Amino acid sequence: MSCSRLARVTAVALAVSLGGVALSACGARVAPYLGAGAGIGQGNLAAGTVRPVSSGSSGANGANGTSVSNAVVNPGQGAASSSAGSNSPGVSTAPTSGGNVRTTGSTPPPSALSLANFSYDPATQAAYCPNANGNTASAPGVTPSSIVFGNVSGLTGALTGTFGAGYEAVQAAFDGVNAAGGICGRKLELLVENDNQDASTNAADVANLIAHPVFAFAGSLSDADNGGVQEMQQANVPDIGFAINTNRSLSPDYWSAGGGSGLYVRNGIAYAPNTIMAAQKQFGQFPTRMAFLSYNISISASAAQMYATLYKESGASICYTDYSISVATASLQGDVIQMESNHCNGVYTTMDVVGNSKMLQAMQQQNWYPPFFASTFDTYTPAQITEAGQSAAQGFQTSLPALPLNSSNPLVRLYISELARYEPGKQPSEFGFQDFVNAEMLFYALVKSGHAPTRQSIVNVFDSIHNWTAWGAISPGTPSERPPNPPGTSPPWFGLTPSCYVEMKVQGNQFVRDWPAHGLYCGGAMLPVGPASNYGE
Amino acid sequence: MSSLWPFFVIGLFSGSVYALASMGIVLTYRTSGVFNFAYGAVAMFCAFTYWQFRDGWHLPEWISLLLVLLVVAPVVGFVSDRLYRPLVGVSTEVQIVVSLGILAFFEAGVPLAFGGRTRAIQSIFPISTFGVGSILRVSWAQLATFLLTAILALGLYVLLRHTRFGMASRAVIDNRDLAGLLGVNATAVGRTSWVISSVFAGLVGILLSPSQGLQVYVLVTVVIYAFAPAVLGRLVSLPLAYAGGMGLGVLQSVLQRWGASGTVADIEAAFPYLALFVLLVVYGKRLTEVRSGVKPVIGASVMSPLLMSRQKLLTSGGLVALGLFALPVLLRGPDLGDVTAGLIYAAIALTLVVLVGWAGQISLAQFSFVGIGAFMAGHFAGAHGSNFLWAALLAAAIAVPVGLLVGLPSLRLSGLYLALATMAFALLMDNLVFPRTDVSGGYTGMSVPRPRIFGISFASTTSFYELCVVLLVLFGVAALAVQRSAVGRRLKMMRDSPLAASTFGVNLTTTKLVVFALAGAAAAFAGAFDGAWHLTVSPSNYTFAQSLELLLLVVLGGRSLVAGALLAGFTYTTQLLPIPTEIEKFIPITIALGVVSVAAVPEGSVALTVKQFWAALDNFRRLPGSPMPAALALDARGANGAQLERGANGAQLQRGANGAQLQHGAQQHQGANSAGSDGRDGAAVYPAAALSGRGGESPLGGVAGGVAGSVAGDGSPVEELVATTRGGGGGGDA
Amino acid sequence: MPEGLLQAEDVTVRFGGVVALDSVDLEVPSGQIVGLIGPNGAGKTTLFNVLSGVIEPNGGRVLLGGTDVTRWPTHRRGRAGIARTFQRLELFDRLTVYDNLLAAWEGVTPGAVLGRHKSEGRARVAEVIESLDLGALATRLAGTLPTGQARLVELARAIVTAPRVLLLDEPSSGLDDVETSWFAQVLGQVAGARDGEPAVLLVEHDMSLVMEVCAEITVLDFGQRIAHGPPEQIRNDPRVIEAYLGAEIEPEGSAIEPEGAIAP
Repeated sequence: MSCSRLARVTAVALAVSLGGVALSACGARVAPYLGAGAGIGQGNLAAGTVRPVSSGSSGANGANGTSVSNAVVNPGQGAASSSAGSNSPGVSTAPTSGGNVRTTGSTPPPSALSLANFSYDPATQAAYCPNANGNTASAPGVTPSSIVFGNVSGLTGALTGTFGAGYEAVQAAFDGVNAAGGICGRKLELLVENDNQDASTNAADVANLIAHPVFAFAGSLSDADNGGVQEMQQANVPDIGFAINTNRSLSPDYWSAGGGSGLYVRNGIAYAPNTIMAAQKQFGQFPTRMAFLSYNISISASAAQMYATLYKESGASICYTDYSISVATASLQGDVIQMESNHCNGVYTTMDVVGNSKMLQAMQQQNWYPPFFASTFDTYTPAQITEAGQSAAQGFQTSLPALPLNSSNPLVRLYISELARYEPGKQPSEFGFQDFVNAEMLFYALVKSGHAPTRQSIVNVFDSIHNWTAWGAISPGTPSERPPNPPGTSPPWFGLTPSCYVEMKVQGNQFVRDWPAHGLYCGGAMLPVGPASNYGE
Repeated sequence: MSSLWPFFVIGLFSGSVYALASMGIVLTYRTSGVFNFAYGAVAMFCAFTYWQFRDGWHLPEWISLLLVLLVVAPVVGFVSDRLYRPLVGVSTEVQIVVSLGILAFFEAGVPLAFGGRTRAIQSIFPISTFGVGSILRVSWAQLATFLLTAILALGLYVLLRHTRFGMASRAVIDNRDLAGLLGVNATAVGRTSWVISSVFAGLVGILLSPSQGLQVYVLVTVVIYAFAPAVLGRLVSLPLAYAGGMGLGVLQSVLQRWGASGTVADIEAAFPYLALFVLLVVYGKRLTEVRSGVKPVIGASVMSPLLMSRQKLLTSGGLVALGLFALPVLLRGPDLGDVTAGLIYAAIALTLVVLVGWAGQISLAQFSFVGIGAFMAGHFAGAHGSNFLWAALLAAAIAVPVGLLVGLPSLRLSGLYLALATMAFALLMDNLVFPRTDVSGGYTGMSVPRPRIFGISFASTTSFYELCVVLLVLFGVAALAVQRSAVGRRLKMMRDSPLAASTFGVNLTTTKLVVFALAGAAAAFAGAFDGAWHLTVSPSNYTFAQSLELLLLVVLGGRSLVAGALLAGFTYTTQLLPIPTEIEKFIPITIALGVVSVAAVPEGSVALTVKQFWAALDNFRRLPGSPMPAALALDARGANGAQLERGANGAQLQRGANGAQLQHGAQQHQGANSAGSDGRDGAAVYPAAALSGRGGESPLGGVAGGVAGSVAGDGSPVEELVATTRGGGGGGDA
Repeated sequence: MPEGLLQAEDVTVRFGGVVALDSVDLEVPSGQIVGLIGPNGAGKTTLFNVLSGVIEPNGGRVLLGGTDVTRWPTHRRGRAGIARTFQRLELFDRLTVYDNLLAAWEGVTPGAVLGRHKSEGRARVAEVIESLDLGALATRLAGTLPTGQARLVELARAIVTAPRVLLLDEPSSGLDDVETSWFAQVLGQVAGARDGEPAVLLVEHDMSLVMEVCAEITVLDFGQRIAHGPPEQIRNDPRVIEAYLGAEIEPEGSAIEPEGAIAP
């Protein structure tokens, strides 16, 4: 058998396998509806109660508010401090037991360190544990000089360009701290694998990385992230990142600064906070006749239905719904005409940039613009404006669970600057920022774990975090909150982590702040949004 | 909202979109004889290049248009022509595979070449609007698209009906050789046909991208929706394709007025697939495929006429099985898990080999059955998998009536149309059945436990692996038993000539239905194991795209039992391995290579290669008879002199070509072996002598086979030989 | 009219507005080779298809050994003893010659598909291979055979089922003179070899073959039977000559083949 024939056989088989990979993404995969995760914020509360958060208070566990809070948090005043310690005033972080490190007998870093005085500055972070003396290979993926992390993201697939932001942000953060010497003298490495937005590939990639081994996963981002959850659970590997699928966010190994699952579940009913609606009422923007549009893909449709329930429970009436829009539809003019004739004054969609653009263009064509039209925060990107056309996109809104990317908040600026420096050409995005925050949380845990970090040690640190706002940039988060935990276990059923947002609106060629005037708006109540089974729980 | 007419008007515009796409499909089929699954991808590629010229490099609009329509699209057309020419009317499965390969090439290549971001692309027509009635506003771009579509429909109709080119292209498709004899330059016509349909695809892409969005997958989806209108025209009538597209748009738009949610909405969304399925079944035998005047080529790669002796089979099979069982000694953990996935996939591939390779029924819905198995296992296997076997058997039982349903179209359809009908079925499952939470757990999926059989848990990687080896061995043994049995022969009778089979007592209806049902049941049984491997399954694991991929692999394996299944399993395992980002750049190139090799060797490049490998080995066997110079032996067979003189009978020529080509392959060798001591060679070339006396095969056939094997192995053997017999008119273009 | 083993009575077939067969009678007596000829479009293939069950007639009956098989589907007729060959070769191309015969035998033998009567089948196949001298071809793929050998295999396949009636559709198509005469020889041996079975109905354009082997000839023109009788009678029948529009029917050798050389 000649070599050329052997080469050909291999090329064929290889081409086939790769072609198959490409083909298997061919059936019109669509943007994930950041359903449970996105824009719902956090919070697990006893049903019907709300927690108030006001500046400076420690929203400790257990406090029950009973009224809708209209508090506005102004965390944006955090002054940058370079030395170890000071945090910006007015940030409602809860320094509960976070100051103590629950490590397993290794030399602790400065025990006075807590999230309240932990710095975001890479040089300072490196200085907390400046040398490698006493470093051991204390865990899989850990050597005296490095720690390897894994990342499985949907870099190619139906939604190209969407999910790279996670690893880009984490990589930039790693680069920043490595340039300053690393943590306890260890350089942080990130191994990235592409799951092509396919769940089986995701599972295989996760398994491969676990076997590598990696210490933990950092910044994985994909709409197929439900694939590898079982592998991570079986191996008990921590997964630090932003979950898109519910079952990942419900996993006991999942840790996110943005909090656990966006939904609270009790007695088989799911609850979600209606912060956005409360804000709209406060600022006089509450739409009384709402329309909801989604793709005919269940992840999109169920997210839209959840919002519909929230609006209804908040007092709006539903004037039109279409949960079966096809990805390939030529125009949404029919929907717009119906919304127009039904006199809707608000529209919310859970489609992607392309779908929203069709809607915006149809609105422009019909010259009909309701006072409120918005979508989920993955559309917070310049592409939404250019895709729809600037004139069509004016007034389009979206809610962010963190400060906008043009904010002067120091962490936001750090994200922008490190991304520009270490990942030139990559676009900042909300996803990216969320994972950047997660990286900072990871750094805190590593610093606290000192010279012999283990998976358990960083998990213990995550466990101890309550109501952390990442230097005022995000809605307060408690990573350990996730239902359904049986009563009596730690953490408790209900926490008081508030849900906070900022609303952005397109003006000119960019998104500008709509409400609140500064910082984030926190408030709203936990409302029932249907059986938990609707959300995969 | 009382008035319906705005939706009617909107429907006209969205209908234009479908009409453009469906006309493109019909145009391609009418003029080139190929049903181009990759049509949408070509359109998409042209749209991207248009964007690059106009918005990326800021060339003037007209120049960008001309560049795309007069340069880029024709180039794509030329390449398509070269790829498809040997396949027209010959093998539907291979055609499907090639067009899918092209689709995959574009889908993988465009993001790499153009980067990942979505782009906006402005319409070439103004988007300002004017009012129609009290509420509707129509944009000039919409109106222009509508008018342009109508004009194009008319133009194409005239082109196909009333021009020489139209006539000539019909002639070429109907009977290429005859057309050649009548002075039609088939090659030129074929090329022109492809250029025209590519240019049309480019036009479709440029016209539709502004409203659809410039994305990799959208146009492909639109084109799949447009299959139904194209079939309405039986793939040959442009006016009907146009009408069908318009009708589909109007119907969908009007339906939307009535119900944007609930059952009506589900039906509206699935309507194009439903329509496709119904149309195909209703039209039935009135749908004719393009057939070349020749019977399909039988290459050296086809299953060896002499199945391996039982002894040999047992030993080699036993060795393979033993090797598989022992593998955990070498591999652990996730790697072993990957191989497990490959084993299950190979078992599933076996079921498709039986259906497609032996019974000749193309099915693009096999993975739907696998999905049934996985979800059934999730529902019924019990908390720790204690009822796993029962769940798997239940899944197989449920798959039987489903298989009968899928088999119904096969009673009235074959080849391409059967493929389309099964595709419609798979898409219906994907869109209507699987997403239901009570079936599959919805998008969040459901968990499937590992099996616990007779109290033994097979949850660990190694134990589950061994269980899957058993599964594959069982399936393999069953398949091999069928292959050698009367049942196997019956299936192959039906495949090779349904007409003759029925005259020899085969009840085609029963046989087809039974084979669909059993293949489906087997796939469902394996599906339970597939679900257990994944541990969490969701509808996205069992889509139509996966059925396509399976067909692709089976066809590449030459539809042969062993090669097909093993290739499938091996490839599936390989693709689970992570791809380093640097290598990803080369994916499109390897796909392209693969596609080219498939097109060049339609019999199945892998199987062919394997067969030629064995044939080449036979060069080193001892010869029983007296030697004759190999060159002479080659000439006597290869030149086909005697056959040619028989006259212009088209079929005759091809038969000669078949015969000669076949001599180059393993068959000759086999024949030589069995004929044994018969020393007379060259007799086979003179049929009269063969009829009267002993048609001896040269024992040197083996040598000739081996030597000639390397001649025939590169490039396209059929092409070469056809060229020599044709005297320069057609195929082997210089 | 005399009773035939296979009989078409008053068969009428309409395709849309066109009458393809108009009250046609045909008998194929036991032990005989009957020829069916006529110009192009006369309806020969249609009649064939009615006899073998591919088409159901609009009127009339088909009788096999006295049994009315008009409504029987093709496969049932196959099992009842009607075997046929095809104008365009319909061999099982990707099976060997041996398997072609075996599969055909299994198809018409009840229970064979389940594995019964295996040895009988193999014996029968071996017998036919021997008698038609196909031994050297037995392991060749049927699709690779040159036309002459392929036609022979088709005949063998039809015979292996031990049919009562053998319908041959232009069997000499694609054969040269040498092959045709050899075929005629074989046919002569085959017809009626078992107790008058199979009776043979032969559709042909090759006049020399027809004249040589057929005991009786039926002539169709425009869907109607215009003549019937022994070869000499037919040869001189003015209606037949006129139907062929002046084409002369030579007693032997080079026959005019109206469409023989061009692909069907």
